[in-house]
Amino acid sequence: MQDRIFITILLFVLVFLNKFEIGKRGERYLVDLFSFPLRMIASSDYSKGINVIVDGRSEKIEKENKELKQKIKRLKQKIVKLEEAAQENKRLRGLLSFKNRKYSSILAQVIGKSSDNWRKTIIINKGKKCGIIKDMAVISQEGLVGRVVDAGLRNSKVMLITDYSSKVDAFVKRTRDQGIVEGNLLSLRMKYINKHSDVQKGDTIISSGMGGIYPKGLIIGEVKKINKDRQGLYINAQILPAVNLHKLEEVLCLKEETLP
Amino acid sequence: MLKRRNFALIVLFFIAFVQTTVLNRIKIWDIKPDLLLLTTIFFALSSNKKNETSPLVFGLEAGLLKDLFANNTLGINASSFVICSLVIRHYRQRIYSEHFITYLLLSFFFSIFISLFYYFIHKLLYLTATTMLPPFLNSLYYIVLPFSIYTTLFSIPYFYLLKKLLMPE
Repeated sequence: MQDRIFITILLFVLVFLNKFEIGKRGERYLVDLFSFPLRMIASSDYSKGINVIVDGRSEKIEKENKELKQKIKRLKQKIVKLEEAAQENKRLRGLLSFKNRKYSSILAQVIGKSSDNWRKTIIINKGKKCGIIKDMAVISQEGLVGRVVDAGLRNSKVMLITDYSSKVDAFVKRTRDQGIVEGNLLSLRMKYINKHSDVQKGDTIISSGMGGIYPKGLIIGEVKKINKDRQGLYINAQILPAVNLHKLEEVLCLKEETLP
Repeated sequence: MLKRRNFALIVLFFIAFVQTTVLNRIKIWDIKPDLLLLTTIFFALSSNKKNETSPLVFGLEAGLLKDLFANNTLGINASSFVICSLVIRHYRQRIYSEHFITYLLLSFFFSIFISLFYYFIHKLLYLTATTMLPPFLNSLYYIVLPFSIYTTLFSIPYFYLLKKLLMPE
């Protein structure tokens, strides 16, 4: 009986954590908590132990030394903050450079990744409250990231283009040959390219805009390897994604605007 | 009893935290080991009483945590973890748990089991366009086997660490 009550409470707590992003906040607190002993060790005041200073002059120097060290610490923290802000600024500038008349964009931060080996999904910190809806295209400054598959109230799940279920209608930028780019566990694969196509290694692949989810002209990646399919009817190409999907921090969700 | 359970829950939360954060940095071929499964196996092997329910509850909690942190369908991992605990409890008297080979073999076997369980349950219940899984052989070569091998290799230092931390001589 006790077990059942315990499991029920546990289930509610976990759902609550998942729903209101408390898990993410908890992670930050935990990181702070676990880094505390390291900070203690790193701090020279603690490692030195207690110094008994007899001389008045050395006391003054000691005081000054302490103040300067504090100042250095504060300045170092400021430098780290400024560097972080500069990097963020650079990323956001890149994202804002994406302009499309038909689409408005919603900026979101990546707050989680699936711990599952089967799915290639990320979780972003914007949901229905901010206007995110299912099947919105998601991009980063380098190119296409994926699409929203599940929009929650405050967060959403984005399926990456490398997921096995992902399929994007695309074409080769140089030759305009069309095909379908799909996730292939470890990379991307473009199928159904015309066998007479002049597609070459290094060619850029962009979205075709067909299907209604992804806008036309988004960079997907570049051709890494070309091979014919088993029947010899089409050409298949292995694609290297333009976006480093392992290091995503901010993304843009594209919302199609209804023209009056 | 309650103190022990609270401790187990804290350990589980900590492991789930490590699983979702630190382990993303040691991925090989986009695959990472499953610490929650390894802890469940360790906990089930450490309990000596035949009808003890705590390994099952522990397995359920670990599975639920994995489901939640993986943003997955609630219950798939919880069920497979409970089955793992049940099997270990059933054969507990026949398993010689003092040798590391036992832990290695069990880690490999149950890693394969939970992957196949996930695969077939998904194929049976969630056959929609957005939850497609790769063909069986591709899944086996690119996900199931690398995951099982990586988890098994990872189990050597992990079980050693757990033994030192949780079961001091």
